[in-house]
Amino acid sequence: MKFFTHFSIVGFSNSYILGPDEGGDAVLIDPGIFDVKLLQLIEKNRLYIKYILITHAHLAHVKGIKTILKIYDARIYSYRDSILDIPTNKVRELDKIKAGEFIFDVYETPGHSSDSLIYVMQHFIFTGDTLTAGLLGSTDTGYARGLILSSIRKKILTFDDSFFVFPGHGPPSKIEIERKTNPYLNDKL
Amino acid sequence: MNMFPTKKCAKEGCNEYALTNSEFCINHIPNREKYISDLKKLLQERDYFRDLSACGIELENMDLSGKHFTECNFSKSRFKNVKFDATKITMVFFDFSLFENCSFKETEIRCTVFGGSKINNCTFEGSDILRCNFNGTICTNVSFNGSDLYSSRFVNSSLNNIQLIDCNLKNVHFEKSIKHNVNMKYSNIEEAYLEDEEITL
Repeated sequence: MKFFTHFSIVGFSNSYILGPDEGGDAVLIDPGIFDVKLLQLIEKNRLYIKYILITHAHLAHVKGIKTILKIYDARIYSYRDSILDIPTNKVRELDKIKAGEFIFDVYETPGHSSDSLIYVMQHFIFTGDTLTAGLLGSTDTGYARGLILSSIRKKILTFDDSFFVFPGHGPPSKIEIERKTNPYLNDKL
Repeated sequence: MNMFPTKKCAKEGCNEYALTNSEFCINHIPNREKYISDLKKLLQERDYFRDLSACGIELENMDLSGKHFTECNFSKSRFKNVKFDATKITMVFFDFSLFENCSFKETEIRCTVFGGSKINNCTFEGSDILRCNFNGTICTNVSFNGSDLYSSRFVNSSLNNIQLIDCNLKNVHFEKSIKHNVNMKYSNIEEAYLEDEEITL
């Protein structure tokens, strides 16, 4: 499996690409930007973006979609039925997305936004803005904070300590690190 | 090959990751001493490492300067008197490890995870340490002077006698960290998150 991260200097967000070793149909998670560097990364590795997974529809995570669709005929998966007026494939809790050789499990994690999803593939969790290293996603209200904490505790923290966490912003982490060192996970609901 | 070797140890009930070229983790591998000796030899001979799974290894008195490590897993390892000067380290997991008297001068470290580690008497001077995870670390007598720490995180860490002089601290998170004798002179502390603040992602 090929795995790459790309940092968007516009929304300061992370995009992730997963593709087969030999090249071919690939998955792009959260295209916050589509720039020359990302295009080169895809083409140099003989990948074709066939699947786009959106953790939530904030601009920092979706702004690159329109440009990508001019180059690649990709299917978009998200909680919403459209993003930036582009129709998407709606996914819900416990859906499975078969994206080439990869299968992603979908979990709804509202709190940071009402359309927040996380995607789990093998030992990798793509947490979007629900959980980033050492922090929780930002929330507007006390209710939303309760929701995000509940989402993290009931969904993300049920995974084994050895799972790798790839968030929408900031550095990667692991479930064990979050469980033992994230000071906000014990906040009261 | 997988980005990270996510194969688990073949020993029944063990949840640790298997070592590269082995079915077992460091605790259950037969001929452990030989494996470690071979690994050390490999680390000395080669300059580029990708997808290396070496969780729980112990390295002492080694010079790994100038080498490249990409997408490797060194969780729960111990490094004593190891030189990483001028190395390039990308997406490497060093979580819950111990670093003693190690040197990371002039390194380029990206998206790398030190979370939960103990880092004692080490230097990272003159390095690019971008989007790295130091959350929950216990750092004692560590110098980052002259480094770019853009978007790295030290959340809930314990920082004792830490030199952060003339560093780029833009978007560096220090929330809930305990700071004792931390010197941030000439660094852009106004662009860092020192205490709890409202953060908008």
